[in-house]
Amino acid sequence: MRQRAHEPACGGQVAPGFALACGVLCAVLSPACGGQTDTLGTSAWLRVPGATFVAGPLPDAGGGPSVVAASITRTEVYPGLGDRRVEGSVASSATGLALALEGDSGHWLLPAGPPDVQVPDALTLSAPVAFARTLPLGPRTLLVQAVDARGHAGPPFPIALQAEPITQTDAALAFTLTWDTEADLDLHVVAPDGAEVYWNHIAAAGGLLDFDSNQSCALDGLRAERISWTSAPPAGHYLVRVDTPSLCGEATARWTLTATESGVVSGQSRGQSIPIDTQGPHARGAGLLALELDVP
Amino acid sequence: MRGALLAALCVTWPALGQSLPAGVKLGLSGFVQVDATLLDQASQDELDPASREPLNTERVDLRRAHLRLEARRSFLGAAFELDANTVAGPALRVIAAELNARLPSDDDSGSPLTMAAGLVRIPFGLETRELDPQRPFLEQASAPRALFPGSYQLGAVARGRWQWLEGELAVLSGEPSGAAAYALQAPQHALEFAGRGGIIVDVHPRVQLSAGLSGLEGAGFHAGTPTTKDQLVWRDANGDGIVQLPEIQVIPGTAAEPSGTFRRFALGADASVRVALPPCTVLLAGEAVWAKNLDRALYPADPVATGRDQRERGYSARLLVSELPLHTSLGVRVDRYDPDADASDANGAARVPFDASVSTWAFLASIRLEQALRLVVEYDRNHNAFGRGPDGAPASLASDALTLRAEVTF
Repeated sequence: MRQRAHEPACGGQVAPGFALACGVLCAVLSPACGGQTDTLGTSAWLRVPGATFVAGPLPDAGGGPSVVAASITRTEVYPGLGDRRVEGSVASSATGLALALEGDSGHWLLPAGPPDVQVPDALTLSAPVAFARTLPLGPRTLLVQAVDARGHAGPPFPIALQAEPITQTDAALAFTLTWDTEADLDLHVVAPDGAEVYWNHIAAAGGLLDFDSNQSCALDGLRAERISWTSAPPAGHYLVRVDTPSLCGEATARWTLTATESGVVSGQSRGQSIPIDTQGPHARGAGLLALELDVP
Repeated sequence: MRGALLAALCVTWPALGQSLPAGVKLGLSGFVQVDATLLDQASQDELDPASREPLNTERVDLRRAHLRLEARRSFLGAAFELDANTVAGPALRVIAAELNARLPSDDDSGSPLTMAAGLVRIPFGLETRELDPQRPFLEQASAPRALFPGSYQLGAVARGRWQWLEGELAVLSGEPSGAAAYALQAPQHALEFAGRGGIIVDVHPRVQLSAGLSGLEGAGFHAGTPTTKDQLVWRDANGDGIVQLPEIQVIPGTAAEPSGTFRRFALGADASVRVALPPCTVLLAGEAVWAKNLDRALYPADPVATGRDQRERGYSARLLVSELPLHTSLGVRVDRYDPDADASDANGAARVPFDASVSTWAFLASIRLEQALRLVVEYDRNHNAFGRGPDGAPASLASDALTLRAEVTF
């Protein structure tokens, strides 16, 4: 007996004779069916590459198989960054797995793995996970659920996470550059003594470049750079420039530059990088002057 | 419109310093199809994570705009057809180009044998041979789209008809025009042979029956790999952002692998019955195909890479009632395509056979206005195996679509 794909959630099992009427009605009347479905899960906080996204909460637990053990490579997670993996094992009667963040807009479905050689009568659980830039900060709970072939789900297995900001926000002085597309933008800050902090000189005059995002178009999902002073910054006049080494195939990149002093916004500017901005050198002195700030 | 274009062509020709040779007949024809996809459950206002191409399909599209120029002198002829579309951005391409000879007569209806060479239509089955403006449904069924993508291929074809017998035999080179890889290119030298033989009989003054058997035999191409260098890879296993020795892996370089070829074939059967029930006409038609390693578009077959043959199965059946009052037509088509009859999937600790097929019920209504204009609305109810259900088994992702098409032929 060949395994046959289930019917889609939207529309359900409909006799073909009613399908035309259903389609017209869906298009005209029902946003639930006629609207676009987020099968990529781009609206969710949790992302599981290769899995199927389903809007709504996890299936109700009802006598299904249990999760024997589950853990994540590191419980501190950062909005916008991936590279975490959920590992563990589930009861051998499981065929499917469901993963979700508590309070998220949906959950992810994937098949159970092969038998676990370290745990008798158990199957492996292994899934790469990533977290959206919209993930709220603070304590979060990742729920893992095993499901058997009859669709019966077991009790959710919780994994405690801590969503932390990618950079500190209470630095004495910080310049943060964020942008909206997968381009490679660079932040340059010239300190009052003329020292320039940028990708090739990440520390000068007490300032430090935390991240060089999308360096050489190696996309990291962060789309942010920050140069900060954790202790009192030198007094004087600061120049901040935004350079665009590459748009990485994007048409434009709209950026926002924010200066904060001890967490309080003291300056902000916005702009847009276009292809002509990628021309010329991208080392010291490069970039468009975006902000000037006097620190007493 | 056609007359104006033809007149312009005839006026322009002498202006270019040429005179139309005596005995040369020119013909100009074409059609334009504009689609408005009103609903597509698979559409998203997003980009494909891999290709960065838009995933939104709920849009207005220039699906096809064909312009065909034909020239004929005595028994020799040539045809050239261009296609403009915006399916994946603005594109202009050659859709067909052939030189042909009709023997022994130059009369369109009376030539029992035609030979053509160039970019020719693949002689296989029912829908692959059907011209785009003649097809009642918006697009071909899944099987012909997967096995004969684009429907055109470089080569030579002989078409013959004698009394109630008809046949086509082609020698083809390279890949079809819509292939996912090497479209209209020939990465290997082996030729492909395709053909169809059939009958077309008026079994009753109001009933016409046609049926045929098709076959294709050829070779596919497996791309080799170049030499690769050693690579040092860091995997942040514990996610602490610090490089540690156990997290560093060396991926050794590999020697180049040669390209290869593999055998592929297809067998098909098709039949249709047309019944005139004045004032309307009823058409019942269907085809089935059985192939190995021939998918060149939807799930491209490469048995060298997978280590096993990929067996494809497909069928379609359609019922069309045309010439109803107000020049309307109603139709329904069911089609199913299994790209890999031996596919398997994990089910807990076991591997079980897995049905990877895609199927569609298509419901169509059309109206013809002023002879040249046709408006079509089609609802496609699709079933696939692209997703996962709660039990981990393959599940169908919602992808039903409702499309409106306006078509003008000239």
